[in-house]
Amino acid sequence: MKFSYSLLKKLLPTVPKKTKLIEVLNMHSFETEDAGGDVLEISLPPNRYSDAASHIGIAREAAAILSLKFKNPIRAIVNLPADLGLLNIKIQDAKICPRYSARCFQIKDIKASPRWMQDFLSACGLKPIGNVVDIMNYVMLETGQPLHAFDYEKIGGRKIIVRKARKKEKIKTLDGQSFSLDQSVLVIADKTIPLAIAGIKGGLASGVGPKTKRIVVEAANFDPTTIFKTARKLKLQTDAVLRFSHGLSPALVDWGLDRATKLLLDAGARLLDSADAYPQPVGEEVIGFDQLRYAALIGANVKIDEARKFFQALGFSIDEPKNPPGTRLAKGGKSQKLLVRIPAWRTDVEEAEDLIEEVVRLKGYNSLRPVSPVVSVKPAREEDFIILKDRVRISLKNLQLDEVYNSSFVGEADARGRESGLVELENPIAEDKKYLRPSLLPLLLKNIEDNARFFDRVRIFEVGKIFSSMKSVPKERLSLGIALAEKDNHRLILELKGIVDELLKSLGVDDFSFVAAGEKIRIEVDHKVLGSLAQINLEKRFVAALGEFDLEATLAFTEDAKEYVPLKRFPAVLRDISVVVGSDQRIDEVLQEIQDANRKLIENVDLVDEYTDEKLGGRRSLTFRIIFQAEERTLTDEEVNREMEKIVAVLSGKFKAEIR
Amino acid sequence: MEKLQGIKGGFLVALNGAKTPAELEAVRIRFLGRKSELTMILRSLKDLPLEERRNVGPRAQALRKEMEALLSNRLTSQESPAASQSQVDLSAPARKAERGHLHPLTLVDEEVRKIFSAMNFSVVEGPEIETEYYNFDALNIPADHPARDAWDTFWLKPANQKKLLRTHTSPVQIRYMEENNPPFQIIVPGRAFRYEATDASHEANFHQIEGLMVGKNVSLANFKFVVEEFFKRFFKNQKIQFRYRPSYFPFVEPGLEVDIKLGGKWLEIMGAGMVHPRVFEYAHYNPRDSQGFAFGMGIDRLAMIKYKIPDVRMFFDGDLRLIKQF
Repeated sequence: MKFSYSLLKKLLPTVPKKTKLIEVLNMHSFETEDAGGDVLEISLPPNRYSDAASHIGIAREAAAILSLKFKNPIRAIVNLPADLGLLNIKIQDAKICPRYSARCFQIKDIKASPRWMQDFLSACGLKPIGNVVDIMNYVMLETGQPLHAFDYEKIGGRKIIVRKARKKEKIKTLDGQSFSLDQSVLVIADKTIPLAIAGIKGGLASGVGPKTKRIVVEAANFDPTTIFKTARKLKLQTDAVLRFSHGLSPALVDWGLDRATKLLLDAGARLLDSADAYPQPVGEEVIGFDQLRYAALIGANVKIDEARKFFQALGFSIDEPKNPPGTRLAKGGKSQKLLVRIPAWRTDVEEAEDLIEEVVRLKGYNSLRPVSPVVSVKPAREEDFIILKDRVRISLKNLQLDEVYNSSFVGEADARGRESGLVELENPIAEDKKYLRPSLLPLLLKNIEDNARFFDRVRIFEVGKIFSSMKSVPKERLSLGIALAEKDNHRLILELKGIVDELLKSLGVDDFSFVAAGEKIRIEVDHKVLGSLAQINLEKRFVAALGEFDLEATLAFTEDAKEYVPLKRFPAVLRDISVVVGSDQRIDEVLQEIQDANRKLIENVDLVDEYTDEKLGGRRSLTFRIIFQAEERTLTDEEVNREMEKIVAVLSGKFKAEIR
Repeated sequence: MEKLQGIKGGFLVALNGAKTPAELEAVRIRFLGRKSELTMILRSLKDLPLEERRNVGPRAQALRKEMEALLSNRLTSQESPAASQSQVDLSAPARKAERGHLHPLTLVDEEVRKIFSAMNFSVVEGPEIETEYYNFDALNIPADHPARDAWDTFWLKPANQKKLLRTHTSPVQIRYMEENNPPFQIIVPGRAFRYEATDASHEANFHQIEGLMVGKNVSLANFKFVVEEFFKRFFKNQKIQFRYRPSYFPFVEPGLEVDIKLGGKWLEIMGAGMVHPRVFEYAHYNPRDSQGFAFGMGIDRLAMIKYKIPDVRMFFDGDLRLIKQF
């Protein structure tokens, strides 16, 4: 919100230089920037509009921070001509309009307002229009209370009714826009038609014009939610909306009207009548300030006189102290309490913590000395998923993979084939970001394509959430995606298989198996699928091997306990065997059969060579290396030979294998 | 016997094939090393019946001598070790070794967790899909109030379920307090989402670390101690200054903003405050018995500052030219 430094100076003549003012406001009140020239840009927190969306409010803050004397310029107007019958106000629902107050004036003429007022308005981003409207806006800048002026003659039946709009009721606002309203909109109406959209914008028909002789100045208070919602719906943003939708105190109404009255009288107007509908005036709350509570929450002491001084500077008043000064408390420290009377316009101060905040911020956070907390030695822990993610990342890094992070959003193209269970955003930022990713792979594939310009070999992974929808209930799961890519390497998936094998072992997952199923390899433990691998061909001779894992399913199978396996003490015997098998013979079956020939003596079986050529007529030659080893003795050649014969017999029998 | 013949055959083939000293050494290890087949045979002699031992023993010994001699012949026929070493130009570029790389955001996340773990903070996580209740209501952020506008929100379809992508990691405060009693201190790393256009310093996906410490006497002065310790370690070897400014978040009271000065520049780095009593009430704590502080900071921002990365979008495009630098 824009503020004029010179208007602040007018209200608080002792205010320091602009740079100094900006600094102290930043350190004690609100984020403030120099917006050039006379203008300060102050970011008000949403709970401080009632007291601080005004030059009086900011001047009061500055005075409290710097211990300066601040005199509120508002003087109550005495001897108000009250309810002479010129105005008749009726509020339909006091919950959405707690207060509606108006004064009626005879004005001298409509002309431009004085230079100084125009300058203040311009500095704060408001356009000078004419003396009456400018006074309304200027008073809003000073006091924070939005005001509106109607042409008295245009108010039918001298009646002002604050009511909900009727269905399809029409209004044309001051800026010439037409709106068709509904029953959620609050309007200010005369006996027949709406004169203004309450708290948002005045109507054109009842506006002040060059021929206006008598005016009604409105100062009212509205329910913030109603104003917020209506302004959203009608897409109308005004200074009044900004203030009302944050919530203002009905007490501001008096300031606004009194100040406007003074300025109008100064401009030659005559006050004719006033009316105030205020069914339930707000009271002032009294909240206790407790020195001990302050010390406990902040971790430092404050002198009670210092606290009192800050409260008074902020316009709070102090009731009788609860304990006489110097009361001894059980803990041995002296504590005093203050009963602080909160002025109605400080709508943000609701509990003891709020008072503590006022004191600590005015003292300044920077002077608070850091104190080490006292912490139990009960060891801290990390959740299982966090540990698992760490282990996955470290293992894959050790296996020479690089980690990437991708967006959680994907478009139609990247969600192909999964349309049914997609989680869709109500308000995507772009068409190609309208779904939550159902898999990590599409964007990993995109990473590969992007990186292929710079690297011949890409090995990447991502750990992150993927999303799916079950019966339109959105769900998320922790996933691991791995992608390898290399030119012309058509056996890349076997490399991925090796990486996954090492990864799962490093996580302590035992007894997993690779199940070749069609074009894919599934990784299963205990009949549960943890993930799957596949290989695809990309452009420019690149081959990619992709794998995705459900880390939530994997977590259940990770074991921390490792147990030493006794080292083999007796020599191993190596034998190679080459067999020729049919082209569609699966290697894992042959390998398994060899392994099963003697589970006790065969330590390991490995495929060491695989080829095919014309001489084999499409069949494949496979060479396996078999390691024989016994636990309790050295194997003799005869024994190994016997085992080899058994293997030969099984392979030729079962797979029609030709032994070479 | 056959076996010894086999070993010799294999040795001769390998010896012929070996060209460099390194390759010759490999041949030595394979055929004469501690784990070689021949050594195994020699070692297992003692377990053999006497007759067999007499038969195999001498032959195996003879084979070893023969192989050693052949090997040393080949070695001496090569140039002397000193000379052969000088053949390597030590100024030649290194043979490229390969390693994997963790993403810079992971590195920062790890570092942050390490420092807080050392201060006995536990690490917990929460869901990325949240309800309106946890993301806003229970954090004292009222509906239909401009205060909520500070969190631009992605909503999920169907709209009537009021599910959203969490706009901060703060909902985990409530989730954790619902399940655990004080005293405790936690940090919560995780991804959050902001409905906004992307530019060099804004991304719709971003990462936060939330902190929450609650006990009987946890004070604002304690907060200052913890964050200052944290930043001093995180930016170790750099001169660092701190500045605290009042700020407003509906779930804390008082609320403040932490700035740090690094390299002569003030940077906004963290929002924080003392947990609002109403937040404790939402979590079914008695606000009279508990007090504590909460804070939140951007992992992405920390990483940008630490590694001097100018554009937040670079974290999310998978460019290995960036990632391989870490």
